[in-house]
Amino acid sequence: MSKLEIFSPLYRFLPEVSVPKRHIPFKEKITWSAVILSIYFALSQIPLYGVSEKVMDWLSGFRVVLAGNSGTILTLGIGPIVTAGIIMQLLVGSDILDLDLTTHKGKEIFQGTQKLLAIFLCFFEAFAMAKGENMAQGAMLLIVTIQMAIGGILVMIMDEVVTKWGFGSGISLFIAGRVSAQVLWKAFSFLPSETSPDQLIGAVPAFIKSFINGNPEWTRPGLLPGMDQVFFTVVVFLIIVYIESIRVEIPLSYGKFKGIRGRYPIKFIYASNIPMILTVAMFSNIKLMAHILNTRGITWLGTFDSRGNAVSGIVDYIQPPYSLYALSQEPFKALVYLIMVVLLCIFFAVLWIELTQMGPEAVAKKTGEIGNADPWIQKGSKSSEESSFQIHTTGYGDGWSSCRIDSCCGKLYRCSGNRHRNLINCGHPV
Amino acid sequence: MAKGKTRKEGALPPTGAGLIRYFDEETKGIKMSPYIAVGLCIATGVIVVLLHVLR
Repeated sequence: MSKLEIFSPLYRFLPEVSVPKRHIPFKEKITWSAVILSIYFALSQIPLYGVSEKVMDWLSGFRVVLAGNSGTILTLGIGPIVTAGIIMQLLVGSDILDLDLTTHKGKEIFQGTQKLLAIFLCFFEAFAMAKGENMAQGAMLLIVTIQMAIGGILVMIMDEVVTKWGFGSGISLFIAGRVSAQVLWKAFSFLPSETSPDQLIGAVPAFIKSFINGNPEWTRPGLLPGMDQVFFTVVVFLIIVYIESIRVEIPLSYGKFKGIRGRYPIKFIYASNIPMILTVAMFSNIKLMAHILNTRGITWLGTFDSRGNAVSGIVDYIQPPYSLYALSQEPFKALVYLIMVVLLCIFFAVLWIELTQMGPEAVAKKTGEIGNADPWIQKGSKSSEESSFQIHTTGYGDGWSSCRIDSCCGKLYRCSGNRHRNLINCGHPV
Repeated sequence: MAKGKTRKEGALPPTGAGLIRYFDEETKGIKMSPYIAVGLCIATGVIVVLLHVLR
């Protein structure tokens, strides 16, 4: 059925966390999530054996989304898993790989191949980083590569434990864990900065210090967090909490059981943070590729300074500006970044919604099929004869790292349903 | 009975953070309990820390 079936003998070697056979109580779910998050934090603090000096972080700038920690066992973070996901989604979405994801066989092949690809990418990315950064020589190079690759595979396993035995997805948990820790650290740390020892790391203590000295500083140059970043973090957080809760609830009623009503909620941010994760993962791969090419003297994708920040070429444009100061220095770069992110997010959101059968046509079909339901809008809310409802997935882009709003695609569909039929017909985008 | 159906409709596809995943499907891979998984993670951490200490 598919070219991918040649890989199926390898599936039996893939590690897999078993699916719980019983209902997992709330307390147990919390425990699993907490245990995994603690282990994740612990592992992301253990430095790689065999690497002595501090290495440049190839993925700096993307850590917000990719998680992980440079120079530790978890250097790769969720990079390989997400990259494997993108590749599979693009291949299946563009029909290059002919897979029927509605069948058990199709799902198994998809899942198996995605995992194989992720494991391959763990080793590939680990080797590229170890070799390109000259982390070690000879046999030690192999040991460092294996440590990083195993770290990547462990992230995969931990993600499975959380997804199957805990709450939500492990990937989201790792991202949220890291971001929460960073927000607290950068806002409230009393420790002096490594790069400029007379400055405190935390924005709030630094502001209080400057205020006491009689010269309050709202922004700070360089990468040190300032009060402007604290302000935007709070503002963006509040906006997202509000927007996340916006939803349209489509009332449904059933032909079979009179009087029974259901609701189908459609979130304003329909695709959630997914397009943003995919976009950042794609950028990080471009950056990774640029680093690999750099070590071979090829610089058309761009060049980097000693700290791993891009200074020229395409890669210079896929880095978000880190502060208002950076934004005021290079507004054009920020604009290009903004446009690219918005366009890519729209692309990934549309692709993802179609692939996961969350599109208006698929949803309308599913709504019609399950329980022989007869979905229609309640009388009076729309024209009564040919009632219609809208799957209104809206979207907007996002900005720079200090004001990162998860984005999603903008599409307005109008589906028209006739309550005398079981299946509703879906129209085209309005 | 009908209520159960109502709830089912709201179910989203099996995804997590941008990845289409079918974790509820049983595959042929090497099965491990979550305890083993946690053990593997801790063991890896301990081994690397020991390597640092013993050097």
